[in-house]
Amino acid sequence: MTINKLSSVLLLLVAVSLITVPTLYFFGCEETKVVLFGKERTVKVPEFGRKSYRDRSFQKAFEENYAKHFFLRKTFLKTKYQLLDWLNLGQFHEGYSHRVLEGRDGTLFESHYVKYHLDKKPINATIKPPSLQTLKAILGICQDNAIDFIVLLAPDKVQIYHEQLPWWTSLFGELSNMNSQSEFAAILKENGIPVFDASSFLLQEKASRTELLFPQNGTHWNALSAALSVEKMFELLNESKAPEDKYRLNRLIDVEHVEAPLYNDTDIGLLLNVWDGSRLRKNVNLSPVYKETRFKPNPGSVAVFGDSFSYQPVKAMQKAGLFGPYKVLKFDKRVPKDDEMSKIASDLRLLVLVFQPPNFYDVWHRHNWDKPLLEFKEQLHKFCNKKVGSKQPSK
Amino acid sequence: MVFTSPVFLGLFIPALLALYFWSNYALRTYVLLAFSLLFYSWGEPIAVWVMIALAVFGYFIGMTLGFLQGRRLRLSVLAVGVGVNLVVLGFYKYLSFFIGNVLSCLAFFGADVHLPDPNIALPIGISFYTFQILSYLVDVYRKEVLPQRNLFKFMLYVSLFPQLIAGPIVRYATIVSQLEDRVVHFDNIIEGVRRFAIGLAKKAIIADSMAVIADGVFKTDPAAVPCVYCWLGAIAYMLQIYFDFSGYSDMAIGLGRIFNFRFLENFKHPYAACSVQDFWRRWHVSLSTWFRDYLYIPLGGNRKGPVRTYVNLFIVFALCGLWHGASWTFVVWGLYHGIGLVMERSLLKSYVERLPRFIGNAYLLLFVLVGWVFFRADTLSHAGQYLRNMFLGNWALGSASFMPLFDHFSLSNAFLLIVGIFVSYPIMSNAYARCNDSVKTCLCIPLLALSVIWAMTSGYSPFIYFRF
Repeated sequence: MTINKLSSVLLLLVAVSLITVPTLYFFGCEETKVVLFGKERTVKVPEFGRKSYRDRSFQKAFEENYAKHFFLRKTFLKTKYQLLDWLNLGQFHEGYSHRVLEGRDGTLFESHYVKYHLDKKPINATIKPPSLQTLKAILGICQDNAIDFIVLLAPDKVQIYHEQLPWWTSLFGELSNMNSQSEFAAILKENGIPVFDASSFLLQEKASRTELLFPQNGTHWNALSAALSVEKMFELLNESKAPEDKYRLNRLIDVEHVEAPLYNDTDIGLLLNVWDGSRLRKNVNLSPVYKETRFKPNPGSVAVFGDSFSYQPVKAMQKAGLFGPYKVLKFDKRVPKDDEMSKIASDLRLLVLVFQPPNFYDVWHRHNWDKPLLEFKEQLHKFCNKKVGSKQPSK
Repeated sequence: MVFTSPVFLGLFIPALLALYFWSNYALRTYVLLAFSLLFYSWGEPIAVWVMIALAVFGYFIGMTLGFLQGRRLRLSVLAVGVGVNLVVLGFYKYLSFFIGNVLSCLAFFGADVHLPDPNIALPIGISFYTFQILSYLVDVYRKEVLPQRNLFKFMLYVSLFPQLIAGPIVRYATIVSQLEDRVVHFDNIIEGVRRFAIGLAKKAIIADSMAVIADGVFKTDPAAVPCVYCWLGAIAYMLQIYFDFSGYSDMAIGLGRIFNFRFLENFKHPYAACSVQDFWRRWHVSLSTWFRDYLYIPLGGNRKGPVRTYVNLFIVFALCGLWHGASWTFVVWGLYHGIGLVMERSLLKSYVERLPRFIGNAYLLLFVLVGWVFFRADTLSHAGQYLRNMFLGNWALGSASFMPLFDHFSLSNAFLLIVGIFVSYPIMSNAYARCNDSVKTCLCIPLLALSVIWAMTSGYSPFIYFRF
């Protein structure tokens, strides 16, 4: 057989397999559906009918169903993103968007974070009274019920690694909003609300460390910065509630790494050290730093109420048995329902209210938070006031 | 159903190929026809009957033209055939536009008339298949081809799925002998798969990435966008429309080749042209030659003096613009190209011919780029604003309004923009053409794998020319 014939046969084989293998879906070989990025809903197989065919609803549903569930879809997706990785074309939150900027030394930034800092709109530093009053009320409820409460301003890579931004960002002038997070933190402090400004803290840490606090090609803080932050946060809350000595950062050389299922990262899962969020994909190796920095904080329940958190990771954590001594419930700007609240109310020890950059400031000023915060406060009042006087679980 | 959708790649094509190759010689025409009708009815379950009706009507008109002898009688029958096709096309494509414009005119003169919007859905590909039927009828009338006696074969000519909904516009004379020949040739299959892979890569990898940039810019209020951003959006759209449409044409040619049809080339690196005239010899060749043969030449072409030639050119290009869509932006786009051609033929002829090649190319690119702004803009005022911003806008990058750029300009898109510009010129395709068959095949294997993976894992992205 000549080379020409061989290559032709090979081309045909590739073509035939590429277009026939996906159809295996119809023969019961459907691959396990794994969420690669974000939430994916399962699309039902549509029912065929003359009417549904005529109005094209059958066709639309059929195409959607097939596109979401064809055999090897996951492999196809992984191949695509792996190729982008190899080409250094930013498989960086690609599931969320295609908005990646390459800074100096190949450091990647998510564009809307940069955009926020370059925005020349004046920022009004005055917090609107409704949300501030609600926050004070939440603090009051927590104090009455011996629940620790802290507002966490999640760190911002742009702020911490501003020197790595692409050269052309200087064309826009100064990074006008660089201090807004600390200004915001100062206002909260003035009003007596405990706050942890992770950006300011990590900027200080960066000055004394050689390790990276953010992955070069990721937007989320890495295990080291999360571990440092959580220690600091507990320190702020109360020194006695900091992790036990045996779990301290410098004592964690031999901690076994636990394989987490494939789910999206969220900051707080990592921060509370209950879930490996450093990976966007299953086959990405964990950094040694991560393995060395796992520790287990005190038992009890933690409620996390924040913006833009997927509820999905909580399920992932449960499945993987990664909760450790903590029970964690997260609410993605969605006011928890009664049954969810009742799960944690009895032994709630810590309430973390998370604002993540870059949008916390705008969200705040657009009053988007007034209503959910108020409703959350009502829920907290309804459930947690029942345990006034009850003792916290012991270590 | 689009060529890049998982259902097409994973179900339709495997099922068709399996049945087609399994069938005997006589059955293959019917398998292909059945699948072509299924392909069309999948997207147009009701309008498929319009296409079938026009095909049957065209078949009988063609038979009648073949049967009749008297010139006048034949001309009358042709007029009926052409008229019915144009009325159907006009009804579906232009009625709403026409009513809207009449009402605007009446309102301008103070008349307060209200008419309900007919709200007619445009059947996909109607402009393509009606033009194919028209060319068949005219060719039969001119006795350039014999009428097709087999209804199913004629219906296959009209509804052949690879080129049904976005061209190229295939002349009956081009494929009449191929309609009879259903023999399977191994070499044709290989060549077809190679060509399909190239087209799929153009569409799924380059065009769709450029669409992200172009859509992002054109959807932003042009008044708030600095001119660099406008230029970027226009360049991205220029690449998007080329790779989208030429990618579709490549896929159509490739699929046709698999089934032993040889469609003519539709694109010949139009952005490498050095004049508007040269551009139209390379861009959407099947449409420009259709207008040349069935409109420009019957109008007198360039045989009746320069003034009449220019008038003919204006008519042809205005209708060419209108063919693309019922909107003034398309008409202006067509007229703009008409003006370009007339200027080149009259005032600029000697200059354009003497220009160094790269300057000629730069002039053509600038000319075409401006034209695409009319083509892409939602309204004429949008196009005007956009162009004003491109040429007279704010060059300062420091404006906060520049920020939306970040939302659409990822690293991979930037990389593909450069690749797109490079591939627009015939450097790579010339090198590819010089390769022997085995090298071509080996190059196409990863390309096919890559583009199938890309296409099947991306969202729904219809071809731009579907709406024409």
